[in-house]
Amino acid sequence: MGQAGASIARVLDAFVHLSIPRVLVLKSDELPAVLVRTVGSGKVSAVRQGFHGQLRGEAIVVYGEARCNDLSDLMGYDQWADDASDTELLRDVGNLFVGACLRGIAEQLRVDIAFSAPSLMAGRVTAGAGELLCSGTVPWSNALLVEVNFRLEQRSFACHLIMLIPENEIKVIASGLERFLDAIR
Amino acid sequence: MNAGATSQLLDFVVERLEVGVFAVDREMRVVLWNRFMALHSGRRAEEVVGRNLFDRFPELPVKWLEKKLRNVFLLKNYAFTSWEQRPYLSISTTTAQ
Repeated sequence: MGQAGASIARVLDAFVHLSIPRVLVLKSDELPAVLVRTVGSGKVSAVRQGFHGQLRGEAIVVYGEARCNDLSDLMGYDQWADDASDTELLRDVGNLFVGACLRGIAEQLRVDIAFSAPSLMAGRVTAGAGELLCSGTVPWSNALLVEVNFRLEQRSFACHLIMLIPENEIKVIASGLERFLDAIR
Repeated sequence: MNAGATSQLLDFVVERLEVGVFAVDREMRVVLWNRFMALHSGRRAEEVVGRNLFDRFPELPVKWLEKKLRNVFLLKNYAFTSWEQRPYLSISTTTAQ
């Protein structure tokens, strides 16, 4: 995660604060409530991106009310001001955070992963009203949830990165961790 | 299939694929420009390969695209965009489905 923060800092040319990752195993029907507890009940926008290969799952980047507007110049979007660019900026920044974090995890676990294109999952919805995610929409019963929040120094930008890994993929992480620990023993 | 034949087949597939494929190096010089790119941009590979992408296509949104491409080199990661939102270079595709 530290490496991911360093990569993001190089791209955005700003110091990145990241929280200690929060890890929990949850049932699918608990997910909507956990999301609200994590991101708050206010207006949010979210981008989702699947990852597949030797480790599969879904990553969600949740933005607060300010979205990514503070990053438009850093990502080269300040030449436009339209809805399409607004949406693409959310996806671009989402892809940056998801890619940097999962690339690091995959490298340490020595697994090969690929990403689907990021898509807008929610645009300015009220998380507390259950608009971010309804229960019964996920195809697994138990999953590992890893949550990190990011904040940029001197910018108002902040976001939550939530990675969801279905239970049958947890063994990939366990064997990867064993390989990793064997290598440093 | 031997290595030479496999490489020839790969060249053929990239060239004839009905999808635009091009590659740039770290200096943003074009190193690959397939047939689809040539037909849809109106510029043959000989006119583009070896040239700086933004010198050749000054109408491109330089700041945005260069940032996107540089991030790929920096993070060794994918970057995405969709042609529906950015139909650059797709001069003749407006009627194609």
